[in-house]
Amino acid sequence: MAVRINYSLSQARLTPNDLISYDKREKKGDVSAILARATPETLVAPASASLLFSSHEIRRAVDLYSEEFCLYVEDILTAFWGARQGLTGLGLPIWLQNSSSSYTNPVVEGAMGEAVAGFVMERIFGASLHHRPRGRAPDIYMILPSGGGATVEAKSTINLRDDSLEGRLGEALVEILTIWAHIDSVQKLEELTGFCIAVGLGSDIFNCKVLRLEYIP
Amino acid sequence: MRKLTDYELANLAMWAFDYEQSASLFASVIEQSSEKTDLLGTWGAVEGAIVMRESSTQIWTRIQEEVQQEETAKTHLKRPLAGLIEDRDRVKRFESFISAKEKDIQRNLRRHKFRLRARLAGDLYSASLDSPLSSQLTRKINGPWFVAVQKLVSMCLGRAYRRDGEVPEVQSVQRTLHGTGLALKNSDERCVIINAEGLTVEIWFDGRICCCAPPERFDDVVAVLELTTRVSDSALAVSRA
Repeated sequence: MAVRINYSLSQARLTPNDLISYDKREKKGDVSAILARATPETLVAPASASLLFSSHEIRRAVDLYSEEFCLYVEDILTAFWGARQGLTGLGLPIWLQNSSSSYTNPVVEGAMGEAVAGFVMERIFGASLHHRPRGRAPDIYMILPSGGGATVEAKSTINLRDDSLEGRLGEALVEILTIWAHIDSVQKLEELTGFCIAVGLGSDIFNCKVLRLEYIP
Repeated sequence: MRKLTDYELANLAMWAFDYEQSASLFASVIEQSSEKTDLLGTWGAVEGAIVMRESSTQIWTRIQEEVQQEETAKTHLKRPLAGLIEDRDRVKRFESFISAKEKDIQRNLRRHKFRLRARLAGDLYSASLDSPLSSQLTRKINGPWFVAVQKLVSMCLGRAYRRDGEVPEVQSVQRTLHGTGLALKNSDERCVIINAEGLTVEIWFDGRICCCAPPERFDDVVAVLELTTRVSDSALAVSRA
């Protein structure tokens, strides 16, 4: 079994002003402004295409990149989509219980999003895992083929509307801005590349938006 | 043939339950990352080294809240390369940042470990256990290879990697398989999946070998992993030639 990942890549430049205004807690406006000035990716081509994410790749990526230890990620997601598409079976009683959200999410949502992010970084940008931070941003720290560091933040959703994916991209951007603003006085940010990755987890297609951030001092 | 870098090997060792080796590799990564004033890289390597040291069998079995740390990141921190020395303030901030984070990590880790272990020690959960814990981890070193199998209730997970970081090309693995009698299930540029003794084994481009099987086949998993490491060694010899 395999899932198809449809991805689109974009890029944006950050300046010290972006971090300063971010520090002043104009977070929402700052994030929207950065997203609005993003342009299609030029570092790698094509800027949008698709990748096959096979079962063994999913298992490996979950092992390496997800923060929570979880087994059977693909199966849980399949059962979840089965329930939403009218099939009865595993997990259905749980997803029918009361919830404050419009529908409950499968517990593996975050793990699968991080796995997709790591896989996409490996396959598209040739990055390799440096370490997986525990309980803090970014989700993943990777090394690019150039030798530079990459801070990768993933946000996933099972809501497949386009604006939901855009919202997740904004949340990932907030996390990257937060960690960059935190380390600004110690780390030369121009030596880092930021990657915000939003993943929409469908039943057999994952939609993925990647925003690459470059810092211009 | 490919040789993995220290940070790649440290992660691979961690994945394969080779905690002591992983801790020592992360210590090398601290040196390399701090020399480049790579803050996030150093921070992560410090965290990796501390967590892996705590996970090693000897230390994990101790349940005292305060365990003396023999090593600190400071031992491994290196001053930056020549071109960066003029940036002394930044280097000072760098060292002080890492030192503060190291203390945070140690404090959090001790607290988490204490909570996790104290519950069992306090007999809160163990009273209901009629039989000994079934989570059994077996680890062994075969020459350059580290092989580990963990037996759980419904499955056992087998993992192996070469401690020297040498990895054969995937194409060499594919070629080497011909004539071994092992059935090739699936193969692409990143992974070769074979069937050995009815078990599925994956050989990855980054050197990891893994196998998942029902718990009653624990002994078979060990044997199959050892067989696969020999296939990988043959492929490595082909790659070298």
